[in-house]
Parts: sequence; structure tokens; C-alpha cells
Amino acid sequence: MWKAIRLIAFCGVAASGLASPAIAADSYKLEAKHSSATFYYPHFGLSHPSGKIVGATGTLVLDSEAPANSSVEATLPIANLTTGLADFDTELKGPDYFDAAQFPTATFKSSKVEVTGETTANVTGDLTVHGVTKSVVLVVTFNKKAFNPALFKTGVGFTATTKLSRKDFGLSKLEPFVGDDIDLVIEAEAYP
Amino acid sequence: MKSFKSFIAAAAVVAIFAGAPAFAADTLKLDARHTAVTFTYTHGGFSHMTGKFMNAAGSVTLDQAAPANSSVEVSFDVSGVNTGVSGLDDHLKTADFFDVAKYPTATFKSTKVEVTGADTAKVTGDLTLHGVTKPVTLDVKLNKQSDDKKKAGFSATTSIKRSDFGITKLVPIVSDQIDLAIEAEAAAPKP
Repeated sequence: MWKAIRLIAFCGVAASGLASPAIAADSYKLEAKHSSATFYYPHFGLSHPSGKIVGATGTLVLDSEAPANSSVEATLPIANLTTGLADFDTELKGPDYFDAAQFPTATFKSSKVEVTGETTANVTGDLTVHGVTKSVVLVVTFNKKAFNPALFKTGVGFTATTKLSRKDFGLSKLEPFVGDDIDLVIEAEAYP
Repeated sequence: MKSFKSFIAAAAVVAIFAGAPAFAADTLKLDARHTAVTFTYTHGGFSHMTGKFMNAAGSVTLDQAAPANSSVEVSFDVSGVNTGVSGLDDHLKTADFFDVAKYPTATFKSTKVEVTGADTAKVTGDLTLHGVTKPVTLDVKLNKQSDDKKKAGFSATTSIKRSDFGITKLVPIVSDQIDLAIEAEAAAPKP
């Protein structure tokens, strides 16, 4: 069964390869269920609580011949924010923090891709959170390009990290007890 | 060699313990709102997915004079699993994975604390998950203790194989290796 699926997949890939035009840039759509951003912050130096926003949508253009011409645009719905504590989620989405009623999405739009290794790149872009846009650099690792039998498509997967100052985005409540330094971890999958 | 080292360590522990005042050990209660167990697995190698438990109950006994005599006991409600995708949470709770109807609770009970640095230790204990008990070793870092020792915060990591605990569905597309990251805060119970 698996062999048959693999064979069919291989034939499909081969056929699409033959038929595809010379343009090397492939366009993918972020797969929302497997695309998320998780933030970590220091809490009195004691622990590192986290919150996660699943459900990124957007477009990824991968230029395999000139990777520096690749780009990404992503939108994240703040309504999906979850910490595992329902009352805290409500507080974070409220006017003291993300103010989701006024700023329902966070967005990222790349402006520069600097290849740093065979599977790594620094991706600079504009991050907009809480209505504030700042330039950030994502340290991106390309995890895989492969056929996903569940979706019956060949897709790509990435992990990216960066550090942010939350007060840069006007989110300074409870500083310094709840720290300013946010570690951001992004996981993404994208399919044609 | 190893047994010699262990002997020295044991002797040192005994010596310290003998010299320590009787009240050196503080028992702190885990703060459920600031204690999280996060598991990470790979989804076909494409991305890393996480789920989190935020409902730990338990206690940490910190022996300031003889850290190796410290201990931890924790239990959490597996039905609190939170991935941020409600359909996935529902699936994880079924008999395909955690089977929370049959095994509602996961527990960890330490059996050995081996101090590895000024604020680090290897904590071995019995992890019970999905009705299966296996020894695991956590790499623990004591992030901070309040001056009065009434509060402490920890980070800990380990890796397990979910197949060891009889949770094998979708291996290997959903990885067998599970990385665990634990963030914990504990405080002295209010009098």
C-alpha cells in the first residue's frame, strides 16, 4: 500500500516537474493547523511561561535557484491565542495587552532573505503586532521538502526564531516583573 | 570508578546531612498557574508541534543543606491537554492517544536527585503515563529561589519515546520521540 502511494506520488512529482515552466519560484500557502507562533517570557526570573497562536495563513514564495528572492507574508489571528489558562487568555486579548478587538491580527511581511547556510536563512521583515510595525530578523531553518501522504501534496516545513522587546510594540504592562524579553518560536508548514 | 565516585558522593551527602539542621528541607507547593508541561513532537519532519498541560498539582521538597535529598511529586490531569487546535486536543484525548477516560492522570515521582552544578541536577523518577510507569531522568535547572526560600522556579527537560508508554498511533509520521519541557514555580503553603 505504502509502496503504491509512494510510486503514485513519485509519478505525480515527476509529471509536474516535466510540465512546469522554467520559472524556479514556487508559491505555497501556509497550512493553518501546522503554522503557529509561540512566545516565551520571563516571569520574575522564576519560570518562562508561554502562549501560542495557531492558525497562520499566508503565502510563501520559494525560489530554489535564487533563494534570496524568496519571500513570505503571514497573518496570525490574535483570537486564537492560548496559554492554557482561559482567564489569562481573556486578559491577554483584552485592552491591557494585545487588544484583539482593535488589533485582531499580527502580520509579518519579509523584505530581505539572506541565505546563511544550506538550510538556514536570516529573513528580515516588518512585524506588526498591536498596531505597531517594527523591523525584525527571523532566524529560519528549512526543515524539509517532501510529499505529505496525509495531504497528498509535496510541501515544505520551517522553524524560525527571534527575540523581541514587547514594549517596542506598546505591550509594557507589568514590566519589569513580567519581563520585556520575548522569545518567539515560529513553526510553519506550507503546501501548493 | 563510577561506584567509587558514588561512594564519595554518598559519603558527602551523609556527612552534610548529619551536620545539617533538622529543618533544612522546605516543602513547597507547585503553583498550578505557573507550572507547565509542554511536549514537542515532529510532524513528518516538516514542523514541530507542541501541546501543553497547565494543571499540575504536587510538591517540591528542597533540602538546602543536602540538595541530593530533595524530591518532587507531581500529578496532572491529562484531559487538560492544550495544543491550540481544539480538534487535535479532542483526538489526543481518545483511545488513539492518551485515552483519558481510562488514564485520566499522569504522575512523576522522583527517586534520585544527582546534583550536577551550582543550580543544576539530574532528577530521576517514575513517570506514569497512559497506565505505564517508566523511569525517566530530567535535566533540571533551578532558575531562582527567593531570599526567604519560600519561592522557587525551575526549568527541566527530557526526551521520552511515546511507544514506551504504549502510545504508538501514527508513529513514525508523528514522531515517537517526544521532547518534554517543564516550567515550574513552587511556593511555601500560606499558613
